[in-house]
Amino acid sequence: MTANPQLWLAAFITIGIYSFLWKENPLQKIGEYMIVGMGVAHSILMGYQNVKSMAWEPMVKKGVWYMAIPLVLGLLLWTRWFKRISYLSRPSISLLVGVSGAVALRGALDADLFGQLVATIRLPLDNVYNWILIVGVVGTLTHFMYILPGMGAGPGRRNFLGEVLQFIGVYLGQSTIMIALGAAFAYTIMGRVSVVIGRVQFLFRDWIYLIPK
Amino acid sequence: MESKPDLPYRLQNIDTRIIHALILILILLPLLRPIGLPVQISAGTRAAYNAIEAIPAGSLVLWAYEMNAANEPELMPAAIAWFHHLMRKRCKIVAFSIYSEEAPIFAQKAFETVGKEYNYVYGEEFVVMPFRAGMETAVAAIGRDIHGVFPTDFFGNRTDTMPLMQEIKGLSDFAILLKTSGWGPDVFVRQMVTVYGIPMVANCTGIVAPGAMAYLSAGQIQGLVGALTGAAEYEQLLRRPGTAAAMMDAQSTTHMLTVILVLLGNVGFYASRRGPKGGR
Amino acid sequence: MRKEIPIAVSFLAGASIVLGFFLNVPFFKVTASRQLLNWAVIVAAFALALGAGNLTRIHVTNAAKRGKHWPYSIILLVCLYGYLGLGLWRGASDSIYQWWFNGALVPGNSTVFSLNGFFIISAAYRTWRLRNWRAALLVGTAILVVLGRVGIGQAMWPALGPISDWIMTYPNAAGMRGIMIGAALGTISLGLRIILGIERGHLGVES
Repeated sequence: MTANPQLWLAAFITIGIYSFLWKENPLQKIGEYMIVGMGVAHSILMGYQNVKSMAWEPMVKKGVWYMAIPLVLGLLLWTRWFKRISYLSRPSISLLVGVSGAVALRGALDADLFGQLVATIRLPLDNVYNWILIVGVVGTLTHFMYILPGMGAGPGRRNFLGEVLQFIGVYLGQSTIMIALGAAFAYTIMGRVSVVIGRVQFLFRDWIYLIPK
Repeated sequence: MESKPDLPYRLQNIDTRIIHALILILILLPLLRPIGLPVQISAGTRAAYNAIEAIPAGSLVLWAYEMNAANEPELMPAAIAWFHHLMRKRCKIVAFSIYSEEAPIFAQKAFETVGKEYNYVYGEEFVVMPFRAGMETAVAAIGRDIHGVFPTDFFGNRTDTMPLMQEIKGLSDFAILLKTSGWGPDVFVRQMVTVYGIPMVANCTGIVAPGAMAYLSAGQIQGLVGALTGAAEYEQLLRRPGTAAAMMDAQSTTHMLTVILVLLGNVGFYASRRGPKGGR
Repeated sequence: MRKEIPIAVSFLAGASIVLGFFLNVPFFKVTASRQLLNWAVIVAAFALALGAGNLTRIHVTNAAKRGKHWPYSIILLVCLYGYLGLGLWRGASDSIYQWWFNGALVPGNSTVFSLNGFFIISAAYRTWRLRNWRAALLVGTAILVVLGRVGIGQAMWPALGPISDWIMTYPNAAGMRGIMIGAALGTISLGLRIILGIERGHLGVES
């Protein structure tokens, strides 16, 4: 068993939080509240370093005066804490939302929409696997379009096109989505379990030396 | 008197605490007595290995090192394997993070462990940048002006005096972009790969790896190391068994437990539907 | 003016970035978009403290009123401001700061997150029922992948590895690609709505 106090603290917190698996208890709550507090503190510290190195130091040390603009906008963001003047935070939020909206728009257009569509269209049709991929993409998209209100056949609105869309959307689209979700669920289990393995390894290898290093 | 629940009901309602105990036992046993089951190499991991293998020795590598405490056990083994792979080739690494505030400390820790083995010099062959807020906006900003976004490194040293950073004019100087994170490669594909044509290899947690497959099959990323199993595969390709290989037996037993529990639940489900009392 | 100025800011910032991407005009391409991106990163850093303000208010009130679980509120506040003070005083690369980081924050966060590992297996056991063909496809795929990606499954049936690889490369990629294209359409329309001032939800105003 280790004599390192840091590992003892880590083990205390790990066991405390794991005790929740039996039932809620004070030990687990202490651990949780501790890490919430420390986690938020760490985030603020990283934010402070951002501001200091990107805005404050260039402004003060190099005289880049216009860095005062993001500093003022950033401070205005904090007026959200005070209801009476919270409207002052709106320009700052607008800057964030406007810039991120534009950045995402351009990226989604180029990489996610054109990039993925072109990759699908360019697939050589010489093997059945590529056909499965193409049919799957078309089916999934049809399913999403189809469930939009007014686009489906719906009761009393059946027609030939509606039937075809329903077949593609329901059978091909939903099948593809179910397979994708099944794979995603399996990978999620894989990922989550590996974190448990990490904690068990810590307790029995690093803390009490039961597992050889 | 209340009747005892029948078998189909009990098969569908095993006490959660028993399941939790079984998980712990089935993780602990193979860690105590490893079986050493080999894993087959997946196409994504092989492609990732080949992409990194293909970059010339001494190349500049940009690494989105987005590790945090929650995904460290899953991502660290592949990250360590990548460190070895890159350091064998004496690649020059710039690590940064925009999703995880905790990441710079993890990068520092990994560098201190592996870098020592290869006598890496900080500032000349490796730099860890501080966390930057803004998510996708920050990635776009790094693409436009890496020096403006990182005037100092994580330790507060000025980057313009560092030999490694002096070699970099823009993103196109990097031979490859690596990404280690619990998020998908989407933001980096959108803001770096598509805009600057830099090749990218991703190491994702299990939860986002299936989504990343769409980027891999479209050729927008060159390789994908998904979840711990991907890390174990990479260790095999590198011929350097590490922590992932040791963890994979425990992964096997828990996956088997999941399948057995699902089968038991379904046996109970169908038995209760076909039984004399009908469904519950 | 309380609405008009923020809408104008969104428009000017968003339009400058978009023009910077698509037009080869140095002002938009270099000056405006680079500065705006850097400014947004700085303002976003201020946002990291927003949650802390609300958290402080809630827990100070709770501790002052001796509300539910009030001793834990004090623990939270002490950890938040104590650790922040330590970080501001010594820096994040300091050994004492990192001692607490590695001794408390990392194991705590990792353990809380690992609870999902237990819950997700119980969830799979309770929900993966073959009720209809859709559920059968989901469960069947999940079982093939969950076994196919680990040594035990591949030892039982060596074809499981290639099968799960094939599932990931073709049907899974197809589904994910369809979802991605759908999401991209949504992102593009939202981006346009923000820049044009149609979307005003972030200002607390109905669109």
